[in-house]
Amino acid sequence: MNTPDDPIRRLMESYGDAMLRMCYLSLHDVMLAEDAVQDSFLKAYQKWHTFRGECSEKTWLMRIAVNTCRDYRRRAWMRWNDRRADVEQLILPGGTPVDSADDTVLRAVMALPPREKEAVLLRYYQQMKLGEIAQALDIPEGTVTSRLNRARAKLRRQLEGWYFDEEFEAADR
Amino acid sequence: MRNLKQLTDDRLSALSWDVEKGMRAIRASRCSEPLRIRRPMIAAVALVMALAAATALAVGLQVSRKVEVKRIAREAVMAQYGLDNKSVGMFSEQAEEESGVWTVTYSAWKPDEAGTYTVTFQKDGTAQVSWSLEGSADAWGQQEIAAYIAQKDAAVHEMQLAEAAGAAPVIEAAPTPEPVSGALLTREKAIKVADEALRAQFGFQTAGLGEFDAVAKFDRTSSKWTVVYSAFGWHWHDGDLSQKAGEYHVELSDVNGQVLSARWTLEGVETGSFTRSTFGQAKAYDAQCMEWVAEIRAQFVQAYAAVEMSKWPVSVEEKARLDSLMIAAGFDAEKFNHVTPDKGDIGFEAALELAAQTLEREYGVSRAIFDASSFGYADLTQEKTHRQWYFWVQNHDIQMGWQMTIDAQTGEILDLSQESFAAGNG
Repeated sequence: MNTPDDPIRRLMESYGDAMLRMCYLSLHDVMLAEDAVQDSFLKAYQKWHTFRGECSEKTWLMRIAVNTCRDYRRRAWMRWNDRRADVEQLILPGGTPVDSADDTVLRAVMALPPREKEAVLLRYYQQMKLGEIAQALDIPEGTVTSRLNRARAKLRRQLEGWYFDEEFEAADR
Repeated sequence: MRNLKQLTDDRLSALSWDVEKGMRAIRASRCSEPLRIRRPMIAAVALVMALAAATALAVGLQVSRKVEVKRIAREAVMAQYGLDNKSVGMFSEQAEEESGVWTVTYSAWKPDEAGTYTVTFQKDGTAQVSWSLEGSADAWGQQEIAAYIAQKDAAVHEMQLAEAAGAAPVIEAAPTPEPVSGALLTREKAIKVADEALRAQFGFQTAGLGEFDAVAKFDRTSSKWTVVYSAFGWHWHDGDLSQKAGEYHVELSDVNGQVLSARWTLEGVETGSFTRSTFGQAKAYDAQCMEWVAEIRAQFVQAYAAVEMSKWPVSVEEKARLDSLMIAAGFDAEKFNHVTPDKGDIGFEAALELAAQTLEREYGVSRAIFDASSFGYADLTQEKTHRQWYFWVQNHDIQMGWQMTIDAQTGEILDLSQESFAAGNG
């Protein structure tokens, strides 16, 4: 028998990990990211009855998560403390071995301005389509494109000759 | 190259969402009262609190009933459960009065671990204090909360040290012109042509165009350029500026540089015949409005840049001046309500002194800590019924922050709260 919790449990199981990692890249703090994800699911639970399917569940949920992270960033603590957490802390014992170039990419993404980072994370991490990102961020598709272009230009400059891949740039053409 | 998803999932594999824990918090939120249901609440502890006695303590400072009630509630929670002031600051404090009965709740930043404390005052001045996790062996008390704060403070301290040591910030290099494969025009030239088209067709001038970010894309198949102009995402008080400014799309030929089309995404939206002094009411900003936006925005940018990362925010006088610019442009005076002290109002220095005294009395904040603090806000605003001072004081050495409102005419402390930054709400 279904319970009212079932949809939220399903969303947590489907998107919880990816949301947590996205919020971490946005907020640069594990504990804040956990709080942001919990807040996002709580909002989703409270507003579930208003979800009419105008967009996918994922788009709707990502919109909530992005807005929650924005709220967190607006708080004074975030404004006064430019969080630059070290991804080195996040390797699990026995976790997947990674090369140092991986950190370079993540650091470059984490250093993007917030609006551009949102677009990059939704496009390349959550693998959403431009139209879905536009819905999630409540902006025109053209604005999504321009934010992605700006972000790619910055990433290209920072990773030039080392890690930047043209496929990354051409991904949504 | 692996894609960003693979990279992130590999590198951040240590971060995984605990579904069961998340669901417990969801279930707890269903309680209509602010109590958590994970564990049964055992007997509440009855305390006798005479509000009149608290009032007597308020010698020299006039505080609202709400501030008094909060103080007694805080002291009751600290006394009954052994929390210190910093730990109490990890909880969100809410005080509500209904039919003469005050209820103060302290909701944890981590509800599942630290629960909710509730203090209920009856009309006769007696109070009951309770904890939603009463009797639970693994609930977080003073010791666990203090350890959490210490861990987070240490992380912040390390970060500050790293920054002080010159941890490499990412510095954006200036863009350099790049040839585009298969195109005769450069991106810069395409944008220049598009700029001229917007000037000619929509009446843009330099400042207004400067509010947009132009991105040029080349389509090899059709040998056409499309230049998209998106307004910078500046929060323009009534919402993101880009929503009222829309986007401009200019298509041009790569072969001869001829403009093929130029359109505005908000064409058809009523722009009306607004003037310099009324455009704040416009639903969409045309080219002329964008010139006025640019003028005002420059004033804001200059004012905020001047105080960036200083002890003090933008001054009371400067905020009043900036809001007067908005009102003069037709924006709502209720939203842009920063003012300077009126005749008979408590001035800035006196209000600051009241703030310092209040923090010392209510939270034991020493004058030295107060003087070393910075201010997120120090505002005077015109509310519907009164003018009030609002201070947001932050001390990053002790990772604490305080907010308060003071009636500018009577000096009464209307509301007051504190937060530990470790709760993420500083």
